[in-house]
Amino acid sequence: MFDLSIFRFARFYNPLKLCGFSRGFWGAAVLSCILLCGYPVASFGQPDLEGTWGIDRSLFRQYSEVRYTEEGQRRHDAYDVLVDDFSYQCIPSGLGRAWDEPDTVVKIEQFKDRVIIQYEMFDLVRTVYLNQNGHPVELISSTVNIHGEPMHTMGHSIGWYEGDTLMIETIGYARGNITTLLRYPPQSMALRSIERIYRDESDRLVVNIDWIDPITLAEPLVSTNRYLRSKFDLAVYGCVKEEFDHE
Amino acid sequence: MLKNLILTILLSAPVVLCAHHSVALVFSQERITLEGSIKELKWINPHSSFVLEVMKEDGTREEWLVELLARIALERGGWNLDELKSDWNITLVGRIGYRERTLRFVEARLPDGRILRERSPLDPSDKEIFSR
Repeated sequence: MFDLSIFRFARFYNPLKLCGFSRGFWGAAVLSCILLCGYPVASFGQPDLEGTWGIDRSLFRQYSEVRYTEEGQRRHDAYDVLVDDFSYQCIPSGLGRAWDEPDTVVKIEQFKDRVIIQYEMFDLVRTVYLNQNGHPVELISSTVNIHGEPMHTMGHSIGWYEGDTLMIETIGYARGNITTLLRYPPQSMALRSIERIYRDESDRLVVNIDWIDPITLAEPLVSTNRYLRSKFDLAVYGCVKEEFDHE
Repeated sequence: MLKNLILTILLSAPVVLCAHHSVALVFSQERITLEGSIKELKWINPHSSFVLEVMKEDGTREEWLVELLARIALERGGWNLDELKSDWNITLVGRIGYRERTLRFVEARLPDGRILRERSPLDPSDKEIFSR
């Protein structure tokens, strides 16, 4: 909660100024307290998805049957996980891979204008701006690693709320693989995904994703993961590249 | 004014947070048991690893790269990273990798006779990491 409080400053400034808090010692003190304590998300009228979540092993990596196009099959067959896996470079093969990760946690923070999703694996920070008027012309990756390097395989995302569900549309993917766990469906730059993220009646986080890729997939792929509140805080992962090679 | 500015900056400084691949695709289901000596321990993410130096019957040495879970997962799963030490002689059970002389750690008999296993931190089972 504290680490990103600085971004919550702006919305408080004007109301406090009207109340006479913009000058003097107490104004500074009150502002500082607000910065440190953050702002209750529920007051934005958004569904509360915040928290640190770990995979629910009773429902994860549920992918519908993959049906490839001819090109998709060719790319799938050409893929060699022992050589081509981006993980050796500390890069997720795709968005599905980030959600599928079984041993680390995901942290979600909601703001009025954006949602920040931090994937502990590879120290990924994904910023999804809400209620945008479409994607920009120049698609910059919404996900960066701890060094600020863009993760192009994760695409550019925009989001909005539909009732209790956070919807995220992502396009602008670089070539990669939607996931490399169990199967490794290739993704092209034409991939478009729609995520539906909500909390179920048992306070579990559910992430449904439709994957549409006219170049590699003959029909949309659908995946589902479920997450439980984690007892672990998000930690710095500190991925080491090429660690597999001892030579 | 300056005092207030400094106070604001000091109090609002962001608090520092105190805060891979498919096993199925990289390793076969076939298991092998090897006795050897631990070398080159690496407690890192996304996968910890060590080299198992095995003495063959003809007197030559053979090195196997043994992969474990990520350090972060091992620690959260209850491992003390001192459980394995360089130069210890162990009996290791591992899944044979598709890459030459690679193994996925399954369990290891330590010099004191205990058997050490991995446990994912998000695994709901109460599986113990040690047994005899």
